[in-house]
Amino acid sequence: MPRPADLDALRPLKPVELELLLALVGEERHGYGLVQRIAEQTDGLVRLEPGNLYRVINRLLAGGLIHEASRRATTDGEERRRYYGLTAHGARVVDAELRRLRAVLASGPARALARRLHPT
Amino acid sequence: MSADLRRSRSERLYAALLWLYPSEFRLRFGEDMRELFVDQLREEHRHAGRTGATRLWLRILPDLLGSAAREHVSTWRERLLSFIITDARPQMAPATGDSMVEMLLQDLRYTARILRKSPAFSLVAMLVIALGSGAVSTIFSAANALVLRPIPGVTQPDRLVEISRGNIHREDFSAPASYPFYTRLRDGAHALNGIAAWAPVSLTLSTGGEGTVTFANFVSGNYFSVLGVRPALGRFFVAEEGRTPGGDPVLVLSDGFWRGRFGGDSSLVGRRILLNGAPYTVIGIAPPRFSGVVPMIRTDAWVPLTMAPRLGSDPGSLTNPRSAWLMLFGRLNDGVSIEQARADGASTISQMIRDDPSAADPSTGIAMSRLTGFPADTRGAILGFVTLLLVMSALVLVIASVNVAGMLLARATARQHEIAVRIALGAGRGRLVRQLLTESVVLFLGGAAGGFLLALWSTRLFSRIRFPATVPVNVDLSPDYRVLVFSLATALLTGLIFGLAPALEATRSDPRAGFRSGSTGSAHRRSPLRNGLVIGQMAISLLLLMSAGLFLQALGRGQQVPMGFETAHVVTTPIDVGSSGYGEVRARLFYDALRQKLLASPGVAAVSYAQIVPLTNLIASSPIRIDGYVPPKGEHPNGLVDVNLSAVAPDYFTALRIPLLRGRDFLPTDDATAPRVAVVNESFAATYWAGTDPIGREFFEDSTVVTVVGVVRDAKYASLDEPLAPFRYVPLAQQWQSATNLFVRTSADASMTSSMIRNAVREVDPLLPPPSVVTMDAATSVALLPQRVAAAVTGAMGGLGLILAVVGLYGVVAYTVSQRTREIGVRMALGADRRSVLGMIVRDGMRLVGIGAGIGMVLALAATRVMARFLFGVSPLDPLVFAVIPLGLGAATLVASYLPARRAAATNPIEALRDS
Repeated sequence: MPRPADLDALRPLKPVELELLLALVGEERHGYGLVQRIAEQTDGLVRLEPGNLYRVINRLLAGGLIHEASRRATTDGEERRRYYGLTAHGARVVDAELRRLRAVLASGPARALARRLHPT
Repeated sequence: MSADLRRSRSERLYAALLWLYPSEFRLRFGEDMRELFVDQLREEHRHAGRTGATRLWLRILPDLLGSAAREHVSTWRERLLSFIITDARPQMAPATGDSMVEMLLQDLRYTARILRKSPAFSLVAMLVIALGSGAVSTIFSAANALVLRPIPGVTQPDRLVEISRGNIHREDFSAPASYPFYTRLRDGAHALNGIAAWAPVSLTLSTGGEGTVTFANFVSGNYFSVLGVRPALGRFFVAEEGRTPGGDPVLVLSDGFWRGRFGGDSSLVGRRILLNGAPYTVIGIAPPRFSGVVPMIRTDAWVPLTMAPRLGSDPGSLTNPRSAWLMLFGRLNDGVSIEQARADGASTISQMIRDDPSAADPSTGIAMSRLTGFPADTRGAILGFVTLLLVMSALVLVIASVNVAGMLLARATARQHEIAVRIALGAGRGRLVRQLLTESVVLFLGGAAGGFLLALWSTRLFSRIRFPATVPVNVDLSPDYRVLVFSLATALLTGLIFGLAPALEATRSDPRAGFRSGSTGSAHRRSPLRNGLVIGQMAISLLLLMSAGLFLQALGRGQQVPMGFETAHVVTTPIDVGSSGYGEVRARLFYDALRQKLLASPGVAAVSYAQIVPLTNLIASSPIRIDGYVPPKGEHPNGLVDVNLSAVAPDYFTALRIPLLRGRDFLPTDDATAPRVAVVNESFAATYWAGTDPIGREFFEDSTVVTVVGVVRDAKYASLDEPLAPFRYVPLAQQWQSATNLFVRTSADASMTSSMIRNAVREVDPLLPPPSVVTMDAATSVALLPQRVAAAVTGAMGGLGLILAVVGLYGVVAYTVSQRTREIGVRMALGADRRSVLGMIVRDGMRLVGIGAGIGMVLALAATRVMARFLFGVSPLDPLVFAVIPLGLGAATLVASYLPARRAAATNPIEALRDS
């Protein structure tokens, strides 16, 4: 149930939200898959526990950035889990956020700081 | 297997904790979150093995509490927002609601900032509360597991009633029922939706090879349906099973036994296994958590009670109204009270007696009470004991809370300046008090979360203790959501109570005074509240320590009670070849062969058998008649007296070193065909034949003449606190029973003897289950179990309380010293020497301790009366305890006030005066 009215509340994205959206690029995942993927792409820096994860998922669902995919059986064939995927809108928001970050990186102060701290 | 159990326990706990989330969120994501948790648990388990679950919990608990709280706040906010938007009346009621929420959020944010600013203070405060709260949560966990938790696996347990038979004139309802009594009551009582019966039995189960001892229940056909338990696999008994004597060779296995012995093989259902050597069909498996109606005792299997005569019980057990062996319970019909059901049952019984006077004694009656997992007659004692321990742990929490209250007070004083500023800026006192209360409640909640983790750990520690009991004890003390709710609620309450006084005190002051003195607080203010806190702490910890001392004395006293026999170097094991299909003749030969084999082993001094292991609270009794002796107030007509007895084999007195004073021991020739003989104790001889030689004298049992052939020294038989009473021993061979206990006195150590006995049994018959051997020391230690537990728990509580109280005293004295620096400087400048300053500070501290100890003594005097029944005759006024403990407390507190006093005495008067 996307509620575009809430969109503004989501910008700019929180780091965790960005990581979660990135984890869904190109592949639908379930809860555990998300936790593992996020830990992987952040070198273990971001480790989500169930409560926080589903709060973020709830927020992103409400914003229409992700959608619920159909439930699928897992490999052991016992439980059926909910998978999540990136919506077209979500992909655009990620893209916008990445562009914003790139712009931040390219800004004068950011470059000056980088030069001072990592002189090469 | 244990890993699986722990995993599912964690999972259950997590599932229960999900209730902390708003319902909308829980319904939407709860199932997925639980699955994710299980995945994580599995992963942790793979990485870290046994500690994995604990590590995961440590990570997940903050996440869970934090995200649940935040989710609540956002749901609440969203609801308010949507209310404002749709209702279009923004300034009215919702506005105040919103500002309330805003205010709470503001308070919480401010609190977080304050707590983060002084992490050491917050951490110490939470740690102190965690210790107290951990003590309470641990004991409450145990109480919850033992008393509060309903019988697992049962539907609507509050509608189940325990039915016990008894004598209406003696008001004593603890007797079991006979089978004829049960069937008549079952068929006649209509207020109950079914009455079921059960009895414990130990059976040997095998699939052809070596047997296993199983703890089974004989049950009526409707047992499972009355309890409302559903099978995990296969089926349970139908009502017809359990009606035809000997007609239903079927059994149900417990989940644990099925997994442990048969690896959870589902094809077992429908197969045959051997019970006491005869084939029985497995028809079903009980659900995992179900362990009968006394969940503390492990139950492995259920067999229709109509099979009892085939499985070694008395052949008349299904027909003889005097053979009472069944425990009864029933389910109340809707809308029927226990009292109505009891009246209905009572009228059924009087009808039964009118129809057939031989069916029951005319004074037979019944009592009904809630079925709770404990026999009704022990419930009171256990409840009392648990309450006692709970009160003690609550006192530790009070001490801890008082400490934190003291810390909050000290900090409030230090924040005087900030508070003065806020008042000056127009903050109302109520608002300030609320802010300070929020801080203390947050601290207490944090502490309670720590306490819950402590309880998780300590109950696991307790569960590892193995009781040397002859039945398999099966206690799961681990905390569940009830314990969590309880500790959080306690934290909320204590946080409010113990935060209120400091908050009021802190905001009471005149704002101008706050500005004048700044935050250095150099003015010396005597604080009656602060002193009151110390006095209260001292009083309570003295009370706890005195209780611990009394229990220790009782334990010591109990260990010194002369038992009348020697337990050292003796091992014992229950053994029953009857349950492996032996008839009487074969069984006698077996016991004799085993005895010969053991006697031939190195180091063995004596081997014997007896019906009862002494000091295990078991007693057998039967009426006898003694010519020339008239019982003082004849309970029995015809001059009968009840005398306790035990059936023993030859050499029993040698094995246990019970001195034979006159006459002879039993001989192998005192068998079933020989004239009946008995050995009596001193009290027997002194009571019935005072002043004459008892050897050769006779008494009558039923109408048989029994001749006394020996006299032995008095001993303790069932328990340590029993009075001396007449007792008689009869030869095992003249009172045959296949279930008996083996006793071996040896010079070898216990573990070697244990394997020696196992080998000997296997050599005589390789198909018998291996016996479980315990030392007599261990077997009889059960007699002191309550005192042992009480001494350990109160000792731990008292120690913890003392540490907390001493720390509290130290804090107060140190604080006072820092407040009085200027005064001390003046005194020293005027010529006071270090010694007198030291004396002054210590005296002030000890004055508080003295008052506290005095109050504590008075409290202890009152409280110990309640404990008297656990004290083994130790007077609640035991002089040793009343002298030593206050002295010890005095010494500890002396140190606590000496340390800051020394610092005061080292004050340099010039600096002290210049600084101020």
